[in-house]
Amino acid sequence: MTIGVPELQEIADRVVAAAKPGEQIEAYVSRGGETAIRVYEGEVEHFVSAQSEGVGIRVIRDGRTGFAYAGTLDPSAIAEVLADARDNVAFGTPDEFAGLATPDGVEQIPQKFWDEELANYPTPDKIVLTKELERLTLGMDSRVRVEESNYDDGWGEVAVSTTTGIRESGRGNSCYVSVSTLADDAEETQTGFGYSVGDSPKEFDLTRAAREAAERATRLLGASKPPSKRTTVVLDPFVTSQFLGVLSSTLNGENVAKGRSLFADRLGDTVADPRITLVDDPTNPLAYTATDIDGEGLAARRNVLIEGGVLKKFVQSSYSARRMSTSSTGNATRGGFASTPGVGCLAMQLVPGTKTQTELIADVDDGVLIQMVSGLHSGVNPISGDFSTGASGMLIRNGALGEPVREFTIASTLQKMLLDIVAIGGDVDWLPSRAAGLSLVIRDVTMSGQ
Amino acid sequence: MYRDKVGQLVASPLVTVVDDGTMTGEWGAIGIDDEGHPTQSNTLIENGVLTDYMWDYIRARREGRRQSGNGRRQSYADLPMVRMTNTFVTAGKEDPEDIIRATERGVYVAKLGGGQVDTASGDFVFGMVEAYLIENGEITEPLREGNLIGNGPQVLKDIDLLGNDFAMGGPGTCGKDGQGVPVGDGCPTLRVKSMTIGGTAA
Repeated sequence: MTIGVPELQEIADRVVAAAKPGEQIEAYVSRGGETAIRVYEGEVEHFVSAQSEGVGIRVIRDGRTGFAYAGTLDPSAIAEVLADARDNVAFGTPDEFAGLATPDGVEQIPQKFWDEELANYPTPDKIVLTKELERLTLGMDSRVRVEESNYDDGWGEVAVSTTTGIRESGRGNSCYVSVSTLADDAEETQTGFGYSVGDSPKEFDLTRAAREAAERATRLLGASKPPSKRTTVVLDPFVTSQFLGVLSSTLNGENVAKGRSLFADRLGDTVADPRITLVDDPTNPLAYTATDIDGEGLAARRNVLIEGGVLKKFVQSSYSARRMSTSSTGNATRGGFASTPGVGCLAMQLVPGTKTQTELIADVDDGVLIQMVSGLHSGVNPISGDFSTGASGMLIRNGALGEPVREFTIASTLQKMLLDIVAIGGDVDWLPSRAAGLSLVIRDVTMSGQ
Repeated sequence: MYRDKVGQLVASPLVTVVDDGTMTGEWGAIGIDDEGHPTQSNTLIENGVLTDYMWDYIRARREGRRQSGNGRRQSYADLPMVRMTNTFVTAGKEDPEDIIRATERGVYVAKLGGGQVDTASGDFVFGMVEAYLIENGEITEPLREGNLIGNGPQVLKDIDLLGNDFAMGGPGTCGKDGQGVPVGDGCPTLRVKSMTIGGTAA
């Protein structure tokens, strides 16, 4: 990693040095902290400052894996964690694919993850920012109330060492502000939110966050239920990002290996409109989830998953790759020292088109702009591909936006939606998510309302 | 949404809603809440009329009300919030078989999956995991997965038949602001006059 953390690396190295013959050991050591501030009606309602640290140890012997962790870096506790992990090996089921990552020669692409200005930013100034965001939001529209205005930041340091030759450490920090709103009109209340992220608070765009929070809450006031029909939908960048998030589980090598993906056995097939190229690229510094290494310590890399509509690749960790007789794509994920690695897309992006959202809408005779979806994770089945979600937005008539609509669902299947994409916007939005957003036009979707 | 509505009719007169943390053996039973206050049985809606809200210490004090034992937190690393315990709709009088027989065309939802609720507007979405078509008073074919979408307060008003077969549901986890706490819920078979179902066969 760009900036190493020798102190944590040494702790990880010491654990690994204790390996006995026939044992593979991985030590994952981390520590971090966070600040959370919530302002309500001009006063701090909630202030949290927290720190945590810990170690997670995996021991693999004869195909059996044992894992243990503890929320401390005290040397005697670390020795106990290693003993527990070794003990747990006896309870593991033998798995011929069990193992740790091995360095594969792929070079890391250096990026900047640590901001000194954020690290030294005074707490009183963070509170001032949070109050300012509330004030700006209230000033946007007289119908808007602020439910809460928030500032959050966090920092983390990580080191991972293995008996297979992985030895990586690094640190990073980040911050964001967010505001949630309510808008009232007669008997009706609607909600909205806005946020801004930055390497340091200096990069926040508070006005944009305030404006979006006010607009999201007010634009649905007076919305009605649309009629049921098959129609064309334009997904807002925020919704496209969520759509890609759902799609990611179908491109996950572990799901494919376990027969839980609708794309299993379809490599090389045309699965999407030829305009579609989907990449997972955590080496792009614009991505919110950009990283230089994955959860097992391999270099992060750019992977093309769908190219010109053709399915090219699934994302893999070293484990899922062994199961599928392929190589890791540098896509191990990790929730922290208390969990073992999984597999997942790290930073998805559709290669953008050129049109603005307004230009895309101008090409739609009859349709609906989807600005918000809800219940996406309950209404989508990534194994069958069935897709059904609650939605709200604006009707589109003859290329122009019409009245607001809410309390309806849109439905299709993931397979069909990918093939039914008719236009891709150029309006890329690097949202705080694992997938970048842009406007996407999909035809022949079933809208159920009245 | 229910602000300043105590004493008003907010649901069908058939509906009584209770939150009760004292139901021993149920998933949301807590005995004492996470602020040290004993939990209790709180009637929230009685015969359709809003009777009270749930309270934690700080909000009860701010509004001059009595704590109701609903201050809950996920762990030592979280601050308390007002949360449900075991929330349920009490039993009605109808035989559930009669409810189906009285329905000319409808959907029998046997199992709901995860969902999402906007607490300000009351709009909700739930996935239907198991559902069947009701035709001429009989359950006929199964339906593929889809979403059930509606507005909570409207649905409470639209309940027109309530069964006598009250049962608590399985163990649940209620998530709010990143904190999950164990909760229980229960209700009898009930019929809602009208709701929107999402799927591809519109």
